[in-house]
Amino acid sequence: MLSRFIAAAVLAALCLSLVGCYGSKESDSVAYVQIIGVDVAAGGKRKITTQIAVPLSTSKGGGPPGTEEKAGTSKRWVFNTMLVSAPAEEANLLRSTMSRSPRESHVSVVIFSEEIARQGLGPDATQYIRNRDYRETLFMLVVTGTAEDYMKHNNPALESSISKYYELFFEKASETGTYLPSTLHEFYTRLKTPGASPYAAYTGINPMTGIANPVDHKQPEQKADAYLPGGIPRTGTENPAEFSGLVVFRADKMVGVLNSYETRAVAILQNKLPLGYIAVVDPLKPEKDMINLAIRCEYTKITADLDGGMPIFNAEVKIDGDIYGISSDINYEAPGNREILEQQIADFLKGQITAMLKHTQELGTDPVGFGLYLRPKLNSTKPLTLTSTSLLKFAAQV
Amino acid sequence: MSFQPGRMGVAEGMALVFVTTFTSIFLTSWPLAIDSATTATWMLSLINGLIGIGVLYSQAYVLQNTSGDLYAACQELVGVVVTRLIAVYYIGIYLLDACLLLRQFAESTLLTALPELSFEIAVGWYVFLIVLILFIGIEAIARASYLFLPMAVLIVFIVVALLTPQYQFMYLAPWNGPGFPNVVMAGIHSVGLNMGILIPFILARSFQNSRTIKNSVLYGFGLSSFIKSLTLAAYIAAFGTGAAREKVFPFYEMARLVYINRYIQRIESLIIFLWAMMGILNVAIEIYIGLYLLGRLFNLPTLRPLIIPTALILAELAMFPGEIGSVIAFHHKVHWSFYNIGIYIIPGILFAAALLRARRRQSC
Repeated sequence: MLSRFIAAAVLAALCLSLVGCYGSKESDSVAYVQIIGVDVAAGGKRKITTQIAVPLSTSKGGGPPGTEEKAGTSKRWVFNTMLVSAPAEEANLLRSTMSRSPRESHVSVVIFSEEIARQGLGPDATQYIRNRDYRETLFMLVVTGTAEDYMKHNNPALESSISKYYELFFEKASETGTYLPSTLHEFYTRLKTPGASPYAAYTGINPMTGIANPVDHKQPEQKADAYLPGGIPRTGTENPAEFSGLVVFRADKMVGVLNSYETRAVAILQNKLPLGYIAVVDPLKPEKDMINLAIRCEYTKITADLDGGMPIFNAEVKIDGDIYGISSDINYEAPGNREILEQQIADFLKGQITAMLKHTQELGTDPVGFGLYLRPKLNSTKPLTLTSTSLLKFAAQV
Repeated sequence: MSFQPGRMGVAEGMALVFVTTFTSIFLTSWPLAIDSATTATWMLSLINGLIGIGVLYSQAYVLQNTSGDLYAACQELVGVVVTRLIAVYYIGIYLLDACLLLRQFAESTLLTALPELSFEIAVGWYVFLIVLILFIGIEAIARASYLFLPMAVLIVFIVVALLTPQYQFMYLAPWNGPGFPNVVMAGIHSVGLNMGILIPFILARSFQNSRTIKNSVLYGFGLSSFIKSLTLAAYIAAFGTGAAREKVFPFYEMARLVYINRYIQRIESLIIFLWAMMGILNVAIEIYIGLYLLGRLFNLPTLRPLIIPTALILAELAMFPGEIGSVIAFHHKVHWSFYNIGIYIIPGILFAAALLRARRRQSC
């Protein structure tokens, strides 16, 4: 009995050697980094901005220990911008500027400026992939202008947490298709595995002047305008940040942007558009009337073949539409008219998809991932290592 | 001898085989195998399984035509001297594997869960727990493994299922990787990862009968091969071969990638206990097998006095390499070469000898 008691006491004493007994950190001694922005600085350096949550008490009863001191203040986060020679250095310097220990495990978004994206994101992305403090599931954005400016101007009134703001934004991306969620994982996987080109969500700050800045080319069936970030005509007191379009890459370098409608075409071909809204020109009264619809992408089936070394892709898209409004009072639900409207919508979407494909082929990029459908046609992985299927010129039929 | 109780059934045997052949999924062996089989790496486990069935039936035949366990069979078929050499080889293999696994699991605990824990304390805790369960005995380890098995399988399936939004199944194409002959060759070379399939034959006297042994290997290794194959297919579908080959802890990375929505994510801390327990059980089983063979070799009445010195020596050896990279590379190298002697050559010789003896008896 005594020996058992001694064994239990020794075991309990040994537990003191476990890190949980001495190495843990209370929530009032850590600072949660939520967003990281990366810009180019002179001399090949990086300007890294961190957005750090300010603990707030959410009720009168008080929150967790350490949150009371900030209760009642309106400051939800603070920024810390530093010039560094390498991303790893930022982690060191951050600890020299704060009383609390920064925790990067809660970072939910990494934002890159367009300038750095055009130089190539490979080295920076690798840092966040290999460092276990970060997660591959974090969202990755490219901004017009600098990441620092964007982060400082992005001040959502509806959300108390900036992480929640981004997570909600990407949760509802499937409701429009005019921007797509992009994670570091998907970017890096596409970068490392032949078959598809990486892409990233495109965001920016709107000047809030109410002046429209649409993308100029418009199809005959198209009623509404396509936009890039900062171009949506709006005023008001809501947050000026907006998402529209997609940044496309060849390998790790940004080569161009797709506008909101081209992005929706990518979403349709990727089967990522369960719901969306479109406005088409009234096919029987094209002068001034239009038809508003909700569309649902039932399925997209892409098949691939090799014809004498030339990849040929066939995309079959089934769209289901729900008429929301017809300005001309023509009954498009009646037999005869319905087929005319269906053809108008089909021409409209086919035109958008074809325009997107033409644009991406000119840029030498494959955000849809057509190359992936070619992989089963190959006899072994050797051809994959010889050439990236995503960069092949291809013919596509929609 | 006190270490040959003879009360284990299919459940215990199955658990012993499953734990010792499945644990590799948590370590770097499989990401390294991607270089050999690329998109078809998931097939390696199935090829291993088919080869394992061949080894199972050959050794079952050996046991049927001899008396006792693998050690006794060796003595009958190839003589005392060769038997001792074979025993020394298997002792070396199992203790080496235990040592390399101990280092990798201790290191992975530091990297993933307790970065501020000192390395020596991590190794010390693993060794402490391993010694503790070794003193309880192989039956208790086997039964604990059996109780743990459904939970382990369930957790693996949950992670694989929760990763569904991340899968791009085209990453598994071209379906035959670098070409089917190359995949088969890689499968043949990588069987050494499954030294655990011989455990029921080594411990044959502790099992109820030869059918129990056969079923233990068949079910344990079959389940392990199938789940490993499924997990590897999921791993490649989630990461693609390019990124998958860079990971150190494949299953941990899979768990980290789970993101269903704002509420269902960051689940990896829940599964760390899975591989920590699997690691402890695996190392304990392998040390036991090493000691068991040592007991048979020197005809010892008990193993207990050897447990603590062996565990301490292994812990010291595990801490000896300066960095983990060389340990991982060495482990991969011996898996694909040295271990195969124990899977192909020795069982092959025993099978041929048993076959020859049976034919001679028939002709007499």
